[in-house]
Amino acid sequence: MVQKPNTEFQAKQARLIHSIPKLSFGKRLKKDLKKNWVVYVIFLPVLLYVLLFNYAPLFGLVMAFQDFNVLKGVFGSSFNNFANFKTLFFRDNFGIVLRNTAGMALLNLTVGFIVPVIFALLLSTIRHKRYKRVIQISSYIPYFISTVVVVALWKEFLDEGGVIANFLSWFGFRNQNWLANNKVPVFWLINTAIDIWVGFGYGAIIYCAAIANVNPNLHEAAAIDGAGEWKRMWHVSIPSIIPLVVTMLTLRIGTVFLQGFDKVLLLYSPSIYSTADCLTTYIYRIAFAGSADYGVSTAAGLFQSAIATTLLIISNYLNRKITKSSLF
Amino acid sequence: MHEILVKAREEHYIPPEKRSNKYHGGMVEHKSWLGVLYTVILYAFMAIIILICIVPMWHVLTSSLSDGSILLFKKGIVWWPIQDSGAESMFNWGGYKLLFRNRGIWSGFLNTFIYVAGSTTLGFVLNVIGGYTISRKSMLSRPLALMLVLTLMFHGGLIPTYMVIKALGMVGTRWALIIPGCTSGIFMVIMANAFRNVPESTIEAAEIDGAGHFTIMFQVVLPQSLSIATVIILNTVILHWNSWYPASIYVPTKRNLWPIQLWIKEILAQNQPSSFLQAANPDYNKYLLQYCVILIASLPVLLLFPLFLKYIEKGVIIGGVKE
Repeated sequence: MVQKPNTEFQAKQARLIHSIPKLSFGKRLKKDLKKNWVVYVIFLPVLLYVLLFNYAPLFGLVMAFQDFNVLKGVFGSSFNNFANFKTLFFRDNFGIVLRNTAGMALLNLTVGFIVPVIFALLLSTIRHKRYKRVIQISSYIPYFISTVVVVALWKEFLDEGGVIANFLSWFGFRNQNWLANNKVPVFWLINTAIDIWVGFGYGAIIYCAAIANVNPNLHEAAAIDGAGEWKRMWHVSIPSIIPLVVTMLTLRIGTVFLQGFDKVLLLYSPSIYSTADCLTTYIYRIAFAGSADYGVSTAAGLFQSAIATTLLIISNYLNRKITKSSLF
Repeated sequence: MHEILVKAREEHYIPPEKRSNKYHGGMVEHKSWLGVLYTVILYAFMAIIILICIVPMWHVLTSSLSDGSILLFKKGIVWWPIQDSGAESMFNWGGYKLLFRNRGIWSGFLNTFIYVAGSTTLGFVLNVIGGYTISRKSMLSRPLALMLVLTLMFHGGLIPTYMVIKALGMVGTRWALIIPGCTSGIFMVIMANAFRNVPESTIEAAEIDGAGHFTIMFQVVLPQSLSIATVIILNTVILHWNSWYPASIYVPTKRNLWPIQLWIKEILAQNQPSSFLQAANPDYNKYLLQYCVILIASLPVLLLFPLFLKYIEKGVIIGGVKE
């Protein structure tokens, strides 16, 4: 509570403070610079870093509209308007690449998303504390193994006679090298399975924390009313974490077109390009293999970024609508 | 009738001091046989999950200690190092001996150490400076924060970034693997959020005592945000220890600059049985090399992460820091 001025002097002071006219923007800025210039000078390295490695590449996107020549550079190359995009869109395999990217993204968004949630829910019904901790710690292990090693292990297991190929042969599938199979969902499923193996334990942490924060009285009340483990999970745990699940899902929509494709580069081989090739690998190959067409590759990159940014804006909009909170 | 109800209520009444504030399962409910069955199935299922997470690395360990010529024809999981029937020792260290003699792999480890140390140090300094500036109350702090947030939404993509790094003369040098990936906007924003939670009075007290900005940064606000700083450092370290993609773009042909992950990729591609079996007297230990190097490269992170478990879990909860 603000105290009322009780002396003549304080009243005078208060009047003085309130009578100060608001300074113009320029003057305020000048005053601020005078006061905080040291901080801004200290910030310069960060500014330089961000401008060079985050904003300069954005400027470099003009290459997508250029007949880019490495010797002439961005400033010397001539513009060819949308010729790069035309080349890109009318390539034979572009439709396939788009289909593969969308297929893998969709699988990651559905199956890949729900597994950590289910894992966290099942984990919450385990009463033995130490066993629960052991499960949780082991589930983090795959997350800390590097992509190169993860891919090497899966390649060995998916090969003919490998442990996964053997396991699948019990269910009537031919024992084969699954990474050489170019039927439609096979590679997509492998890609999702690896994503799940790597990330399910790590991804479940946030849901475990949310479930642990559910008011224990709710569980107690449900148990007194005769609800067993399953019923309590359905009617107490799940409703309590739904808002978080929705938020995480909308966040995931925003990143699904950008993340996790670098392992495809290690996994695929020319014989399965028809189902494994995705935008990330396509951009990489146009730029660094064979002809090195930087203009078309940048155009493809811009196309991918445009989709990703659109999805991010949509996801943020959905998030704001559903949970009344947003990132930006 | 009323008396019976009162009596029943008294019998079931638990005084507040005897009530447990946290619910422990099984206190009230009577387990039906269905519930018991569910528990048994759940515990068994989780045991399988543990196996699925642990067995691949165990398989690498046992394979690296096996006999190369037998391992070559063995399919499936190696549960225990397999040896020739005449072998006197349970373990075959031949693969590790080859590994120690391989100079490329050791330079790979050295390079990875340089990249991890360099980018973590540089990234840490940038995070603290950036976080400090945008956490302060000044006119430019909000626009600067917005500038950092925008980098999360818009990406230049592979080629434009490559061209910038090339224009800076970094392609083909160690700098390309240390500087561009050392931090990101999200780390600085998280750091700034932590700094904002530091009580204003401590900063003011330091200012009155004549502390400069660097003193306030590293001796006042940072010590009060140590756990989040640790989270960010851990994420940077793990990211760079496991990184292979930037190296394959910026130093594709300079083997003396390769990090260990790129060496693993190379050994896996080159060290196919078909290549060394053509020799008159093939050294089967060469087949073990890939398992040895995978194990040695994964061991530091796998041994360290249980120590930092608290911070790793915290990291997910404060910001979902990944890649």
